[in-house]
Amino acid sequence: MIPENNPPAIIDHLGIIRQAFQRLPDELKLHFLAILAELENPDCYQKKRFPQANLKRVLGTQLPLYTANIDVRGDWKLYLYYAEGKLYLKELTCSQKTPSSDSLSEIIELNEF
Amino acid sequence: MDIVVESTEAFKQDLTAFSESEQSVILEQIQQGIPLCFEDQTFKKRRLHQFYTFNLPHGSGSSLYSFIVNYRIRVVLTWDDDPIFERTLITLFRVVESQTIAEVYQQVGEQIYQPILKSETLTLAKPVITHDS
Repeated sequence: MIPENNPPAIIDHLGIIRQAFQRLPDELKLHFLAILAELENPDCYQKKRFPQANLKRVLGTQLPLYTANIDVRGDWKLYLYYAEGKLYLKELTCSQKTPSSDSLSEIIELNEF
Repeated sequence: MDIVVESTEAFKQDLTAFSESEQSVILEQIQQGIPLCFEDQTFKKRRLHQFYTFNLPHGSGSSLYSFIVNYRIRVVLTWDDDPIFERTLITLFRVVESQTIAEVYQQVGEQIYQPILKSETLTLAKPVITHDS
């Protein structure tokens, strides 16, 4: 359980913030900072709402892995995981969504956010 | 910590293939069995199995399981601790006859891990369990 008024510290041991500023389009850099601010906001943890990051648990992983959307479409994602009271920035990804018509497309969507 | 059970459309679709009495058994076993898995580790080991080891990035193991409803029916689900939202999230993906469970389990794993594996090839190890009734 995350203590009230004490959000997890963000750990960037892989240099993801630096990488974000190298890779992200200029128009997303400010939004990326806003997402980091949201992840440090105790209010968001109390209300369990992260409206800018649209923080979601990745399904199917024992490690508590999450995604935060950096852009509205969710093409740019920040992967992060929670461990021992800290949030570790893990990876920045950019993907293009492709339409899928098979019966399991919904399953893919569940982890594509 | 709350337990939140969610089901996919594929699960709901699978459910319709079973008779009304079987559907009742499936839902009853999920409603009763999932909370019991939290309380009784022996029960959990008897009812939840992993057929493959998925080599996932981010240093994580898989939390995809097959849940035994009875000798004939299995549910494919994920069991995810979610400390930020203070809950455990159980997501029901499929419910199938036991003779097809290995194939369906692998199929669901490949689908849900596709986004996080990106271009990496999903590697499957040998089945880690053989128990089946």
